[in-house]
Amino acid sequence: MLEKLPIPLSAQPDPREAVTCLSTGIEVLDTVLEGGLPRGKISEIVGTPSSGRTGLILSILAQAIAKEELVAYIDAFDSLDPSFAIKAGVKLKQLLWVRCGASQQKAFKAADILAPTGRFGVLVLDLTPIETPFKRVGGKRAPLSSWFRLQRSLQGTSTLLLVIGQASTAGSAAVVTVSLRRCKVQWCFASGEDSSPSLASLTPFFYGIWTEAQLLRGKHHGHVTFYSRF
Amino acid sequence: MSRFIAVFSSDLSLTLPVVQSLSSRVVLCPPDGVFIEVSVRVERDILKQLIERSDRSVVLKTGVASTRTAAFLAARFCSGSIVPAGKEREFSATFPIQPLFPYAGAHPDLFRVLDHWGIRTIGQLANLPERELSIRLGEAGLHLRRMARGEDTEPFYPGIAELEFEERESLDWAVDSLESLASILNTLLGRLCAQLQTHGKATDSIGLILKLDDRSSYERRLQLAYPMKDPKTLLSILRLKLQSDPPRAAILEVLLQAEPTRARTPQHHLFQPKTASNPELLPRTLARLQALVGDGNVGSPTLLDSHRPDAVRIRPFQLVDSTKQKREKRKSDPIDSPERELSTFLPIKPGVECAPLSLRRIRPPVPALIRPNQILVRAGPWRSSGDWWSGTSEAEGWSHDQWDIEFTDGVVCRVFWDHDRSGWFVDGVYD
Repeated sequence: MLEKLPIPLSAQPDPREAVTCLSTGIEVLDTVLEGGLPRGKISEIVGTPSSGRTGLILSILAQAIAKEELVAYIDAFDSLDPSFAIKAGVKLKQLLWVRCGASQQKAFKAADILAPTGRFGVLVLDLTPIETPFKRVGGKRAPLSSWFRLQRSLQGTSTLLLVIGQASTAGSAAVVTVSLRRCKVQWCFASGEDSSPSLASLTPFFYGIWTEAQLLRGKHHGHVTFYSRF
Repeated sequence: MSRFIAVFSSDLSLTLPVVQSLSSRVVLCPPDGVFIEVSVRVERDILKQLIERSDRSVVLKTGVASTRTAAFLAARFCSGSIVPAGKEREFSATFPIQPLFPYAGAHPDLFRVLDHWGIRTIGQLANLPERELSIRLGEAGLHLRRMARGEDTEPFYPGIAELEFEERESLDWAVDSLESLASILNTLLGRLCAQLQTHGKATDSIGLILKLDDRSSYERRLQLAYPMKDPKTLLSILRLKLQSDPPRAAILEVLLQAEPTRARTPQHHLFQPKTASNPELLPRTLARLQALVGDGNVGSPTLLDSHRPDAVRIRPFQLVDSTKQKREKRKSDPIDSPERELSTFLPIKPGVECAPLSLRRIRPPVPALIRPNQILVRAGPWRSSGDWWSGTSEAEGWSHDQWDIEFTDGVVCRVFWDHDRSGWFVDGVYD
């Protein structure tokens, strides 16, 4: 008898709460992430310089753009190179680029403005400071309350907020944290064969980077290796 | 059933905006007239509104009838009259035929022939037998006879060459606060959006021209990401613009110009909140971002046609029309499509996944003091130079030797030797 009664509307799951995922464009990483990065949530991609973070972000943006979605890139330190974005498959017409002039505070405010609109499939918050062997410009760590405010404003939207930085800053506000580590920098010669640095007398060409991705925060833990190249 | 209002004005430039604000189905009647197509139910209301809204210094002659010819004759000979449907011929029977000639575009010699025959009134012309008139005067005579019977000889095609949407307000005294200016803008935007609404248009570009107290002018053009006609949203966008970029003196005159474009209807998603799919909210969001980070820092990046490193420009972000985009996608060459670019990332080895590699730029490039013991592997140089022909300024031309260097800490950078400044600079980090 009880089985025949309809489930009250309030007890039914909200269809908006059904979590959908966006593929990263890298199959092995999607397998570890169980389909990709969850929409309507905060995800982090962290790592050291030359670990393939930006390449991975561009791959995710290309996946969203292939689904005719709009994407936004909030660039705290003005570091995006659109020519590389095109090579990764990003259509620039669908990309909103917000240059914050080396101000993390402005980047956060821009994210606060864009996150609740729900117009964008992916919102990238690039807080990675300038990090070269010659110049380092760091930024202040944002308070955890700011991250939870952002998380709250994403609720009910299908926007994936991707944070890119050197180390995890969003804490428990992020549902997924992927840490990237540079395993090996690959150089090659015109013949295409691998070379070791000892063969410096021949002219090498920068070919790509081997990256190990480790899932620090998420449903499961695991690590995979992929390759970033031009 | 449609009816026509013929309006003849002593100053058509003042009357035309009023007519356009009342109806979009308008056609000019040179040199000083205009026809408005209306329905029977609203003809009196529109005539009343036209007279009320017109400038008092302008002399108007109006006539209403079921055909444009009858309305024209009514306005010319008996201004203010409304001719009942089917009574056009009787109404104009006693009017002289002379004014009909310029309207019909008939040759003046024809008038002399008719005058010689003793035809003085429109009624007499309308009663002439068709066959005999055709034999004696040809097609021109028949054309004139049809008009005399109150018939239109050409179909009605509404439209005036250029529709101008602008609103101006000259102020009695100079305004120096944003709040006072906002109330004026609110009124002007209300009128402007009403005009757009009447013509079934929206705008994706708003021009704001302010004449200032110091005899200078403040001119800004706002590109909107989505065509819109909501005065409240437009006001908030203009307010954000004026807050971030205020005029330098008090304001004496305000002029708003809107570029008309096709109005789009937003398509809402069944399971998404309305705010998520309402594209009219996007221009306001972008205006808030512009107020936060500055004008040239928000938009879609565009690559310039140059070999100069980092030749990028930001253009205003426009919401892409998905149907138009799909049509373009079908037409476009598959070689140029991003899918083609993606497919170039083939696995280096079977089973190894490939991601794109990017350069994180450092803007402007930072000077570097590179020591040989810091370098693990280097590749290069690739020499590039350009724009040396365009000017004498150092900033315009460039001459670089570019290198890819892996440093001992594992970071791979793109560096260059600047020949003009004789120094090493870091262009970016591969990431």
